[in-house]
Amino acid sequence: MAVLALASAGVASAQQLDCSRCHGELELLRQHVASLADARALLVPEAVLAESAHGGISCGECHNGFGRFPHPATGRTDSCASCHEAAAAEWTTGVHARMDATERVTCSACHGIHDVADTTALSQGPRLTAMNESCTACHETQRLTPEDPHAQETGCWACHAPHSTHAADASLSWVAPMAQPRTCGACHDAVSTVWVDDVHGSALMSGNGTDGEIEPPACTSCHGAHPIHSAGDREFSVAAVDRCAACHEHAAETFFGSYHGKATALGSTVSATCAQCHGAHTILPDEHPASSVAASNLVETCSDCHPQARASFVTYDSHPDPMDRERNPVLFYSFWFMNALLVGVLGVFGLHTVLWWVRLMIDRRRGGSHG
Amino acid sequence: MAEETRTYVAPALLPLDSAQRGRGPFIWRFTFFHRLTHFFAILSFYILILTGIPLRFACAPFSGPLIRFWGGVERAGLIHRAAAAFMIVYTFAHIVYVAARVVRAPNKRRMFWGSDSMVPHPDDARDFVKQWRWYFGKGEKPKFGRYGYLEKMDYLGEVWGFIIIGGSGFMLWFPELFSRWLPGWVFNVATVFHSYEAMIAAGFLFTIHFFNVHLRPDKFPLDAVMFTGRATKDYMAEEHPLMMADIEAREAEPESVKAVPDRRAPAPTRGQTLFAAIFGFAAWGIGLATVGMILWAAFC
Repeated sequence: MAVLALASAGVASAQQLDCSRCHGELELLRQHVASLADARALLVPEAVLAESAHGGISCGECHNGFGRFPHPATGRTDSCASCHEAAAAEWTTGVHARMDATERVTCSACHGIHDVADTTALSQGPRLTAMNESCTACHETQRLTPEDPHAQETGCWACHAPHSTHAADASLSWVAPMAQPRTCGACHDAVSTVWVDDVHGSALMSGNGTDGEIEPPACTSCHGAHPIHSAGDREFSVAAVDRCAACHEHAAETFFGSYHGKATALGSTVSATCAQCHGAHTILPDEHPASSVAASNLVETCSDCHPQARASFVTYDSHPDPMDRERNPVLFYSFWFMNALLVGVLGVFGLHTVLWWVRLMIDRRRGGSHG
Repeated sequence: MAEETRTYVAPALLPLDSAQRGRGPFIWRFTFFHRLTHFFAILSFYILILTGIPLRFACAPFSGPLIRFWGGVERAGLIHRAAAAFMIVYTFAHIVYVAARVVRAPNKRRMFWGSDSMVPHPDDARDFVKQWRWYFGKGEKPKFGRYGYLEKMDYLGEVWGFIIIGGSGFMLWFPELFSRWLPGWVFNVATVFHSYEAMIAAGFLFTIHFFNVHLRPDKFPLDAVMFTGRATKDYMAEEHPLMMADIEAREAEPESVKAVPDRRAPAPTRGQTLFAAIFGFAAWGIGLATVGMILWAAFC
């Protein structure tokens, strides 16, 4: 066995040397082909292949029948699929396989030709950057900004699938709403494992509501996709209010009628937004005992910002609606009393003022003593 | 005594100030402390309203720039509370001042009753009706003492506003503390009282009060009596005839000179008048702009 392996390596090495005698010399190649560009296309420096994922593979394993020179016409090159069956099968289901032959994005677009990169190489460093560049060469608008936390260390394929790539809105896509907990959870499993019990997560995963007009939010509904925001910063939690408001209109309206909402709208950096009270990945309706806004948990929730919060303090209505008599009758009547007082006082004395002006103008016109 | 009969001729600048029009001599209407308190009231009220209004109308387009002017919403809140604290301080100083005036008054009854008092009087109700009748050409204009019903109302309105806005504001300043004794919904109600009472105050002062004291045709464009403290005899006879009559009647009675202090005043200096004009115009300019903002915000 050892002898065989050695012999095989010797053959590979000998054959490689033979091939590289021509294919490693640009000037030599140039003498046998029509143009410099053709010569460059045929150039395979020995080091490039040696450092690639195919470093231990001889030329002949892909390129059959080129052993003699001049190369016989029967020579042919195997497809990647001849070894990488599973990956190729996945690729054929994806959107890139179904493109016109001239535009089709094939294995080499990401993996290279002789500088073959494997998954490890494509997950980091210059090959990752180069591959993302090649994706955004066509998908220009999807380019990640440098501030995006995914811009440096994540390949497009990490979210959009390496081989069975689908359009983002396709049901088979890795970024389809139902697939997001798995796709994002591949890295963010601390979040995805708790989120499936969250009111949004469980609705999404159980399929409840997906047939109605309201679609439960998935990861990107709040976090966005291109760009994705760092969830820790204030800008994100303020922007998230609008995302919540897209479905929770009344809650947003009453929030912006409260001190928290007004201060947030005016750029406060500390005022509570939706997530400060309701949580982010563990949101539950207030009747659920584990909810952060359940009556029994409010003191703890509010005391994040109001350390002196007590049972009576948390009966404050953070979503006050002065028009809703059922919810808070005292607020309702106070609101109407103050409106009546405002209209009454300004109305009576406004009229008092206008008539005074009229009287003085009449007197002045008549040459009266008040003019 | 030649001064008394001398006809006062207003310097060229003065027609701006309606309190300096007509014949003299000048009569003291407000003490230095009155004027200082009113000056403080303007200062603190304007700061309170201009720091509060962006929060009240957070959705309005002017609120962002106004908040940035104050240096952010937290800074605006801090300035709002500082102005409130200042208002509380001078209000208590004012209470002490009024109490001292009552204690030291040679004739205490005059502080509470009659043409020199600012305590509401049945005559005020009568004057109010009379004023409306006068509007419709039925009868004469009512004759006011030192304080007419509008001025008493301005004052009592401020007392009411101070209690309502100050009380609710204090609760909202220290909600954790007040929740020891009060349920949480009280703070929802306090928010409504605070903002609506502030709008009533701003709406009243910046339209009705401004018109009554500065903008009505016989006073336009400015009445600086609250800044200089004095007005001509002609002005007083027109605006406060009962008080003027009282002063003249008592001047004839040497014995009661002590009961009514001599109210004749030197003419305000050019500097005082200039200050009053600049400050007065700035105040009603900002005030009218604020009314504009409220109306603008009403549609947001």
